Amino acid sequence: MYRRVGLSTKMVVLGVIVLLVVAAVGLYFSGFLTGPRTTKEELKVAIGIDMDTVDPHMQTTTLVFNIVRHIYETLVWFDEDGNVIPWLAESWQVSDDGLEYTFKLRQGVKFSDGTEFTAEDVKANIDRWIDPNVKVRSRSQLGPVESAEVVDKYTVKIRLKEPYAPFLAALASYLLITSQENIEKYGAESIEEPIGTGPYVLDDWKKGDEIVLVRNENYWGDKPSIKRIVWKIIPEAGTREAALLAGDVDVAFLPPASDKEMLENNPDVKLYTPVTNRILLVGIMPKGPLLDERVRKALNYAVDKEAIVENVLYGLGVVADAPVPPHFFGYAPMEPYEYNPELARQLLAEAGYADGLTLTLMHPTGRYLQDKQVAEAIQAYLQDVGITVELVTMDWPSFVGEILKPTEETTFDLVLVGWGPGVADAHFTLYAQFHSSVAIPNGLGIARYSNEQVDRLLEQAMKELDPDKRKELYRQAIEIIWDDAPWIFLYTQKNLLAVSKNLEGVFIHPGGEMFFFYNAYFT
Amino acid sequence: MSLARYIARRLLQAIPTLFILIVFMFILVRVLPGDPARLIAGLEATEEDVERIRVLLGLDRPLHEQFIDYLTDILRGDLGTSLKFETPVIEEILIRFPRTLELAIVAELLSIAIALPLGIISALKPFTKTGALATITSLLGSSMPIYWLGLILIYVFSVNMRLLPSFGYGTPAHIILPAFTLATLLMGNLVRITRASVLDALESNYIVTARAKGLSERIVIYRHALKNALIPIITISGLQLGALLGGAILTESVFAWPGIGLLLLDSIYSRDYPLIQGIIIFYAVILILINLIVDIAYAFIDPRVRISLWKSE
Repeated sequence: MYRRVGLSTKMVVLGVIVLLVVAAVGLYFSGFLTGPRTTKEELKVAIGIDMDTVDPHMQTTTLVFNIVRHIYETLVWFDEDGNVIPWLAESWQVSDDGLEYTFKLRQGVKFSDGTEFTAEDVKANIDRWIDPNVKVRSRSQLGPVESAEVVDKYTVKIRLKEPYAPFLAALASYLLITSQENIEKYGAESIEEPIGTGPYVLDDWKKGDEIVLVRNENYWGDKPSIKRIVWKIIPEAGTREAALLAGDVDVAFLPPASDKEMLENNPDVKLYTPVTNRILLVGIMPKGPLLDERVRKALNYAVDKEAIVENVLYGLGVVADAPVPPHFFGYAPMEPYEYNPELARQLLAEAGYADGLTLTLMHPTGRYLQDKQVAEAIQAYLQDVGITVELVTMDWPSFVGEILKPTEETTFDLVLVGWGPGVADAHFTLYAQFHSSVAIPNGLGIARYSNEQVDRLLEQAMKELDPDKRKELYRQAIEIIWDDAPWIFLYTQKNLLAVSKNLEGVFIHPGGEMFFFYNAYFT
Repeated sequence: MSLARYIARRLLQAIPTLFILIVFMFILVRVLPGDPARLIAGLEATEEDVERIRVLLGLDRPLHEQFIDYLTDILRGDLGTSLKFETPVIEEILIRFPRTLELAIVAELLSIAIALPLGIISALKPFTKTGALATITSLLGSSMPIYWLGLILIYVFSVNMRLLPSFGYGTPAHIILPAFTLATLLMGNLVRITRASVLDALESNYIVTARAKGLSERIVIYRHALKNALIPIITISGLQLGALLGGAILTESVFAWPGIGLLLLDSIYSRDYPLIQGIIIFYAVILILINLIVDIAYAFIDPRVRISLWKSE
C-alpha cells in the first residue's frame, strides 16, 4: 500500500509537468495559425548564412554585402562586364597626379530616413572609414585614402596619399553610403539601423531565420517590381535545393554541385554559373626539394586540371592559364602546363628524385567547391608520377590558423587554398600573393614568394594610371611568376545559383558571387 | 525556512561547478587553432586590418587580464559581446533558445507517443510477429542517420507531395518534419526501456497478486503494470529532453531550424569566444536549475524525499 501511494504522488508530478508542456505547445501553436502568404511580388531567396552586421563599413562577407547592397548604395557601380559606371556619383574627374578624385553627385536622392543625400554625407562616410577607432574591417582594401573635402553641396573631393589605380573599383566594392545623421548617431559603435539610399529598406531581421527587405517607395531610380525580398537562412545545400524544388523559395544560392546535372534537366529551374573572382591553387612551400624549380614544374605537369574541372567540379571551373582569373583587369594568358605525367617524371628524375619523394598536402573541408575531392584527385595524380602525398584535412578556422604559421613551423609542403579578392583587378591577387612584403607571416602570400623584379613591377603597376601601361606591367609580372611555378595553378571557381524558371532580370555582379534583384521580375 | 536554506545551499554548491566550467571553457576555446580576428576579416584581408580588429576586440591583451575582465562581467550578469555579431551574447541566446525549446518539447512528446505503444506491444507479445515488428521498427528508426532521414522526408512530403514546408520555422506545419526526425532518433531508447520495464513489472509480486485476485487481464496490464513501468520511461525522456535543449545540431541544420544548436555551431566555426562560452554557461545554468526544480517539486509531493533532502544534514 505504502509503495503504491508513493508512486501515485510521483504520477501527479508527472501529470502536472505533462499538462504544462501541453499547454505550452498549445500556446505556441495558437500563435502561429496564420502564416504569411506568398504573392508574386515577393521573392524568397535561400542563402547559407545569416548576416553578421548591417553596419555599412564593417562588411567582410560577400553574401552579407550582397544583401545590404540592396539597402545601401555606392558612389560608383559595375555593369555586367565589370566596367565602372556612375551611380550615386554622376561623374568624376581624376587629377593628373592620380591623388584627387572629384565626384559630382546625383541630385534629388533621399535616404530612407528622409534626409537628402549630399557631399556632407560622402565626407562623413569617408571620415568614418579612415577613423582608427572604428572597427572598419576592410579598411586598407579601399586604398590609401587621406581625406574627403566638401566642395559644394553636390561635389566632393577625395584625396589619396599615393596613386592607387584600382580606387574606383574599390569604391564600388567597399564603400557603402549611409547618412551623416546615422553616422553621428552611432559613432564608433556598430550601426544597427541601416539607413541608405537603395531600392529596398530593412523591414525585419529574425536572427538565424530570415531577413526581410521591402521596396523603398521613395527610391530615386527605377522602382523595383519585386515588393518584398525574403532571404531565408538555410545552412544545408541539400535543403536549399529541396526548398527550391518544393516551391518554397524562388532562388537557391549554391545548391549541391553534384546535383548540377539533375537541376539542368529540370524544366522548372534555371541555373546561373558565373565565373567568380576566386582562383584555386596549391601553394608550394619554399623548402626542401620544392626549392628546385624543376620539381615545382613537375607538380604542375603531373596534375590534369581539365579532368578535375570536368569530373570533380562538374564543370564548375575554368582551368587557369594565369595566376589571376580571366575576367580580371591585368589578366594575361600564358602557355598552360598541359597534363604530361611523362614530362613530370622526367623533371623529377633530373632534379634527383627518380625514386620519388613524400609530400604533405593540407586542405580545408567544406570551404571551396568539392575541396576534399579535389585534394584527393591531386593526391592520386601526384602518386602517379611517384610522389607519395599525405593528406591533412582541417576545418576552416584551424586551417587558417595553420596556414598563417611561419615557414619553419609549417607541417605541410603543399596547401590547397582559394584566393578571391573583392575587386576583379590583378593588383588584389598578384600584390597580395606575390609581393615579397606580404609573404606569410607578414601578409597572406601563401607560397612565401619573393622576387625583386616582380616586386618592382607590382609596385609600378599599382601606381600606374595609364591602363595600357598597367596591363603591360602585369603581363610581365605574370610571365615571371608563371615560369617560377610557386603554385600548382588549378582553376578559377564558378558559382552555382538555381532560380525558378519564371524569374527574370537578375543582375549578376561581375565577381560572380553576388546577385541583385532590384531589376528582377516574375513572368 | 528549511526549504529556503536548502535552495540556498544547492545554489551555493552550483557556484564552484560553474566556476570550473568557466575556467575550462575559457582555456579550451582559446586552445583551438584559429584566430577570431582573422576569421572576421576574411582570408583576403591585410595583416594590418586584422591586427587593428584584434586590438579593438581586446584580443591582443594578456590572457589573464582578459579572464579577469570576463569573470567580473559575469559576476555583473554580463556574458559579454559577440565578436562576430557585436551584440550582447545573452541577446543572441535568448532569441534562439525558445525555438530550440519548442522543437525539443514537441519532438520528445512525439517520441513518447510513438515509443510507448511500440514498447508495450513488444513486451506483451514478445515472441509474435507483431512484437518483432515493433522492435525492428524502433531499431531502424534510431539507426537512420538524421541527415539522410531528414532529406528523404523533405523530398517526400515537401518536394513530391507539397504537403509540408521544406524548411524553416514559424507555423505549426513547420515543426512536423524536424520533430518527427528527432523523435525517430529518440524512440529507439524509449522503446527498449518501455519493453524492459513492462516485462519487469509483469513479473513482480503485485501483478501476481492482482491476477490472483481475479482482476481482468486488461486491468492488470493497464492499471497496475503500465503505471509502474512509466517511471523509468519518464526518467529517460527527461534526460533526453535535457540533452535536446543543448540544440539538436544536425536536425536544426538539415531543416534550417534557427535554434541554439545552429548558433553554437556557427560560434565555434567563427571562434566567437564570448558566444561559445555564453551558450555553454547558459546551458549549464539551465541544467542546474532544472535539476533543482525537479528535486524540489518531488520533495513537495513526497514527504520521504523532503526528509532525505534537507533533514539529513
